[in-house]
Formats: sequence, structure tokens, C-alpha cells
Amino acid sequence: MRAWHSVRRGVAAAVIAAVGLVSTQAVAEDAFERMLSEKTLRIGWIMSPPGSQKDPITQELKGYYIDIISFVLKQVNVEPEFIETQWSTFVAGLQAKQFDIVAAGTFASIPRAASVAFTSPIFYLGYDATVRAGDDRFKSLDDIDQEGVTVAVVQGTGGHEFVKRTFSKANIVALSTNDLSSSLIAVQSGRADVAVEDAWATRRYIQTHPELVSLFSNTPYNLQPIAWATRYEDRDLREFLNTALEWMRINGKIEEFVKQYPASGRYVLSPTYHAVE
Amino acid sequence: MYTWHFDVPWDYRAVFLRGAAVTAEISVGALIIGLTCGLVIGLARLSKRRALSWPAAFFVETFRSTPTIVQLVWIYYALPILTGIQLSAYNAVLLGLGGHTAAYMAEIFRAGVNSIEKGQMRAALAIGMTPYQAMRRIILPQAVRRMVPPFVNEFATLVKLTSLASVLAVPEILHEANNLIASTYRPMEIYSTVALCFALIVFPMIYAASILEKLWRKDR
Repeated sequence: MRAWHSVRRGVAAAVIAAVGLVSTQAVAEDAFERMLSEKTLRIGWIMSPPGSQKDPITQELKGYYIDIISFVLKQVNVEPEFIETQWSTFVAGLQAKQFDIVAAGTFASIPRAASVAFTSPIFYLGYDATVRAGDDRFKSLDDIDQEGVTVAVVQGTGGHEFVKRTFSKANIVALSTNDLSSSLIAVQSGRADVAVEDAWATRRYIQTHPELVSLFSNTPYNLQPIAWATRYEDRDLREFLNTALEWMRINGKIEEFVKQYPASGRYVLSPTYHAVE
Repeated sequence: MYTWHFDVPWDYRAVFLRGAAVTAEISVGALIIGLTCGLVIGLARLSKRRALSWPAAFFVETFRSTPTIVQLVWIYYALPILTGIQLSAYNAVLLGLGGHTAAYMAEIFRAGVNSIEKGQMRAALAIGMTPYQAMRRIILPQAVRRMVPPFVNEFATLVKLTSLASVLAVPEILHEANNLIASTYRPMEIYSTVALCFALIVFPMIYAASILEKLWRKDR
């Protein structure tokens, strides 16, 4: 009986401690305030060359997303702290406050926007579909969406949302991995008939694998904005990033960084400026 | 016809070695946590005091009944939201795999101790030993021999489970390989090399365990 009482006391103490910790968490300060006071910002990054990549040998982090965010933070004397994350878990990482922003090639899609808040678009990117060379069954998206056709896609990517929304008859295989070439491997090994991935990743892979061909290489479909993800409550941080990105866009700084890397198949909105008398 | 290019993983062998070092580090770290906590939890489960045996049973069954990958993701993403305790991805993996190993080690300890005839403990107590002395001098030396083969099997499983750390972007072999694929676009060759790396690490352990088992069987 005494043992049972001690277990109950232990459980009660643990519950009280947990509630205390949760309420402490609730009054945590805004990421922007923390950035300014601690002079550091925790940035989630996802391996996806050429936007963000780690050199396999030297471990040096590079890519135009890395350059852009580093440039922004340098203007306010803040040090970036880069934390690697994945396509399928970056939303959870943001919500768990493992980092304060995800500076990656994340498609700002409507379902994602229900969970995380995006900055203004940095540029736009479309999707491509890949099949085995010689497989001439597919000419359009309608040809793909047929019974008996297996479509491979990486789970959690914008492509995954797109196929779920677009294909109702095809069998969709969502691969839980961070490797954007996984869907193409599935086609290569005969596990799937079609791979759906962003146009740039597809182009890069096909260059080294002639046994695969792209269906829409010159006309990527479903163009979507690429933007960085933040938590909804971090409005000040997002405001700061939007101002910085707009400044860099107008001054050609974003293009300057992007052009240091191989062509990425991006699309940009080019506003026309008129002098006002 | 697919053309294999094993020159790519060979050119990047330093990456695999670095990944293997992290895999070894995580395996040894989780094993130390698992052995230490597993012994304590295993003995607690054997205790007649419910205040000890119930929490120990709860710990073991929680870890045994949930997938390891879910445990890792939960510790890394859900624990900070619930408690405010923020662990790095590496520490979350150590804690998750350490806890997982502790649960299984505890069961191995318990089974090992239970496999020794009850009369031996009674005899040790009858000649004036304390329960602690009886456990240390009589029961454990015999039980440990019986525990070694399952220990080694558990360690081999642990080494393979470290590949789950790639989900949290911890740079063990599989994660390094995934990143390498993103740069080189040679997945078939790189995944084949990852499989070979794991086989090279795990096979000697399993082989050593089988030799040890045969030697002890001869001694009996």
C-alpha cells in the first residue's frame, strides 16, 4: 500500500513539473527579439543543390539560399546557426522550435501555409515528370492518371501535394526520404512508371542517367512560389526577412548570388519600374 | 542497361569513413546508456517491490511496443513542445536508442537471472550471504555467460538501428550517403556501398558471438 502511495506521489509530481514547464514555454520570447539579443538565428536547411548543400569532403555549407540568408544576417551583425532538416519534417522542426526559419527551396503551397507562414516569394519553380527511355505511353498529365500507372514522389515535398491533388486513378507511392532523386530511382528500378519531382532536380538527375527521359523538360507545369518558412507567431522576424528579401530583389543581390551556381531552371517575376513625375 | 560507377563511392571514401565513425560513436554511446540503465531496470523488474517493478515494466513495455523511428521523432519534435526540453538531434538519437537498448537489455538481464536455478539463491542466503552478495558472487557470474549471445545480437541490431538517425539529419553513414547522392546522383552505387559498410561492421560481431558461444558450450 505504501509503495502504491509513493508511485502516486511520483506521478503527481511529474505532472506538476510537466505543467510548469509547458507554461514556461508558453511565455517564450519572439524569435526576432531573441535574434537581436543573442546575435544568432537558428536556420533550418535542407540538402538540395544548388540552393543549399554541404560539400561531401570539406563539410562546407554553400548554395544560394545559404548565401542569401548569411548576407541578410551580416547586415545586422547576427551569426547564422545552421541546423539540417528534411522535407518531411521541417514543419515539425519549426513547430518544435528546433530552428526559427527554414531557408530552403520550399514551395509555398496552400496546405503548407496552414501550418507555417512563408516569406514573400524568392522565385518560382515548376515540376517535371520522368519515365524510362522508350516508355511512350505518356504525353500529358491525363495519360499519367490512369489505373495501373504507379507514380513515385518524395513524401512531404510540393510534388507530393501536387500528385495527391491532381491524380485520382494512378497509384501514388510516397517515399519517406530526404533524397529528391528517390522517385527517379523508383522509376529506374521499375518500381514505378512515372516520377514527379521539381524540374531542376529532374534535369540534374537525367543528365547523368540517360536511361530516363523527362516528359515536360521545356514546359514545367504547376509553377509555384519558392519561399522560406517561419512560424506564424514570429511576425516580426518574417517582416524583417520580407524587407531584406525585397531590398535584395530590387538591388539584384539575389540574382548575384544565384548566378554563382549552375542554372537552376527558376522563374522570376520581373516588375517594371516607372519614374513618377 | 544500367552502367555501374563504383569509382564514385571510392572517390568519396572519406565520407563513408566519417559516417562510419559517427555510426560507431552513436552505437557505443547508446550501448553504454543501454547497458547501464538496462541493468538497473532489469534488476528493478525482478524486485518484489511494486514501486520498483511497475515503473520498470512500464519503461520496458513502452519502448518495446513502439517503433524506434517514432521514439526518435517524438523525442526530437514532440518533447520540446511538451516540456521545453530541447535536445540536439544527436542527443535525441542517443537518448532514443539508449532507451530502446535499455529496454531490451533489461529483458535480457531479467531472463538471464531467471534462468539460474532458484535453489542457488536460497543456498547462498542460507550460508549467510546478503541478497546483494548472492547476486554479485553467485547469480550474475553464471547469468552473464548466458546473456552474452543475446547481448551481441542486440548490439548488432543497435548498429543497424543507427541508420534511423538519418531521419533527424544526424550525419551517420546513411545520412552522409543521402547527402552524397544529392551531389553525385549515383544512388545505386552509394546505397550498395552503405550496405557493404554495415555488413563489414556487423558481420564480425555476429561471428565473434557465435565463436564465443561455441567455446562456452565446450566448457560446460
